[in-house]
Amino acid sequence: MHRLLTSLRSTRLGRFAGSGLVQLLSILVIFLVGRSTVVGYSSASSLRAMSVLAAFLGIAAMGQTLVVLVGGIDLSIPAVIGAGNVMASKLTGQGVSSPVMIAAVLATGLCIGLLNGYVSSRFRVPPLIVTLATGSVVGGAVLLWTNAALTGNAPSWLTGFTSAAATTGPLPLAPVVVLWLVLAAAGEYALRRTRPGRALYVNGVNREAARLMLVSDRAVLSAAFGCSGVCAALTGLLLAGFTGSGLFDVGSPYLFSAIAAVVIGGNSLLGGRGSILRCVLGAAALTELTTLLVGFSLSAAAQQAILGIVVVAVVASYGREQHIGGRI
Amino acid sequence: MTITQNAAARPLAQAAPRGARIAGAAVRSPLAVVTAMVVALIAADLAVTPTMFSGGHLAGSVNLLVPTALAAIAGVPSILSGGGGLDLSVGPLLGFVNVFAVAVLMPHGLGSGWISIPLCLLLGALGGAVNGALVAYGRLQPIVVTLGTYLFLAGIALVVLPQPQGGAPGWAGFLSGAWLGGYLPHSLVLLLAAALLWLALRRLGFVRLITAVGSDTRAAYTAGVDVAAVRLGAYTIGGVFAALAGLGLTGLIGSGDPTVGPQYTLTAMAAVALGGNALAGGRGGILGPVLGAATLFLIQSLLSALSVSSLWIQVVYGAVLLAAICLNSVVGTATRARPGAAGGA
Repeated sequence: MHRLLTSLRSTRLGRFAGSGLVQLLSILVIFLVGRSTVVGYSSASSLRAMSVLAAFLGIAAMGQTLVVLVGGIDLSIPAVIGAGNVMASKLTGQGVSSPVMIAAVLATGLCIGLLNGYVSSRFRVPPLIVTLATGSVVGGAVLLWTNAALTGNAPSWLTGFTSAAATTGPLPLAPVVVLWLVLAAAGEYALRRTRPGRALYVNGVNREAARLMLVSDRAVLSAAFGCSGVCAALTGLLLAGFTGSGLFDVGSPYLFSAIAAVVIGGNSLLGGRGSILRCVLGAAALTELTTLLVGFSLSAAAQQAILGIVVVAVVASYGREQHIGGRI
Repeated sequence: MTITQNAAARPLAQAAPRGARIAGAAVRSPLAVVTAMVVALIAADLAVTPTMFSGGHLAGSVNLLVPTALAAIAGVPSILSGGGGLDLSVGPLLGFVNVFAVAVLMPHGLGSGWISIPLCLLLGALGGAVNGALVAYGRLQPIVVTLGTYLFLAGIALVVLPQPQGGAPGWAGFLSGAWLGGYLPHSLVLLLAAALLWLALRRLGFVRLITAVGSDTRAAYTAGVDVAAVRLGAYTIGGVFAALAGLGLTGLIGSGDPTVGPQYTLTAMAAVALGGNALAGGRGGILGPVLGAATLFLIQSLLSALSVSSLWIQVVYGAVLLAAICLNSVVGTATRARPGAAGGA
């Protein structure tokens, strides 16, 4: 009886998690808790600020989602964010025009990502270690380039692009938030409806079966990591507008928060299960939650400790695996 | 002249096939690459700093190496138990043990080694057991669980001790010392304790159970292995090793510092991978990761001995790690792909 109940509950919860209902519910609950306990939590200005923060996290986590879908993990994201951030401000400071600067930043991210994907698949090395190593190289190179100091300045249009007070046409949202949602929608469409998108899932579910279906492991991993590199570099570029100048370690909070956003959204870190839509919900929920903890005026350390418990609790509510006895 | 040469050559010629066999087996071992790297790096280090193995230098180097090596060992059981097993909380746990010993036990008058060290080990086991219970019985993905405990422990350490604080217990002073005029550092006791614990678990068959669960969970389950209990045990043992690393860290820095611990996590994972353990589980031991930790340590000490700018160290460190991992994989696949070929040569 007990087993029947738990299996019933887990499948139903599992279906809800798949459709994103549980995530929507948790976003709503966190919002209501914030509204009733923190003064000004639900004011328009605070919501706008949260949406901008969620956009930065969401874009970085979108790349992580693609990597997670093929069963990998990208630890080089913070370093690439730092590289994008420093490149954007430095190049602008040297008088490089914005289109060239954007192209250079995104190309750098793409190259780092492609290297990650190529090395992981060619040498069959766990992506965890590969991205740890490339992250160390990129982070060190940026440090050398900037001597660990604030450098350059962001282009003026970028500051408006990422300002929480800015609007996009008739929408009361900052352009960066609109960019995030458009990118997420495009990514979700590509994952569901295009050939490369389906190849990502096939590879994530079963690499051997994917090989027999002529889905190239090397191409899929390179594409996923390449996208992740581009997303991280883009986040760094956008963050330059938010912070005003380039700093090498601007990306360090994103090491774990990008993974946490992916996980809270309900994506499986074992690969093959997940979507960008869930990652959007995860980024929104995580940003709400951190803002709530800041609202309780807790120290950064206490916030981190509570966040740790919450991540586990949230995932426990819908991300449990099947019992081993049920997998035989 | 010729006679002596011939006489010397004959036994050599007879020994050659057996030597080749041993060499072949050595190259096929997953430890081959990492051992070669350690030997090459020690040679390079000796060339740069000939005094490396003198009494004064040796103790300092070993004290630096011991926490890293123990952190690498702490990462082994969870990875070995498979199912995506991975303990990201190794670093924060060892850091929290350090904070616990200095900022919690000392002020309560529990600084004596006979009380404080067992309590620290118990704390490590408890931390590991929480991870293990959430993974094995909560059926959550290990990376999520240990990411949660990573954030929790790193945060709590800063709440308990916001600033680094001196006043380490007496046993920390002992651990930083050495016998035989510096040639036998006391901190090796911790490494020895970890090795003995691992050997004991091997004799008891528990390591074999972890390996069985890690290499094929379903087969182990159908064979009657209590998969969940084995996983719980694996994470708990990892926690004990992390606590030993925390003791080593306390001896090394002689104070309590809440920010040092978390840095050990990624180094430990890199050391385990360098040591030739499969990150997918089911294969590996503790000797490889210890050698992996030694490799990472020797790279850093070589670079600083060459007075390379500290900014360059991070770049070179990452590049060497990448190259070493690829080399490990190339040698591994080349030797596993044709098991008979090397024997025939």
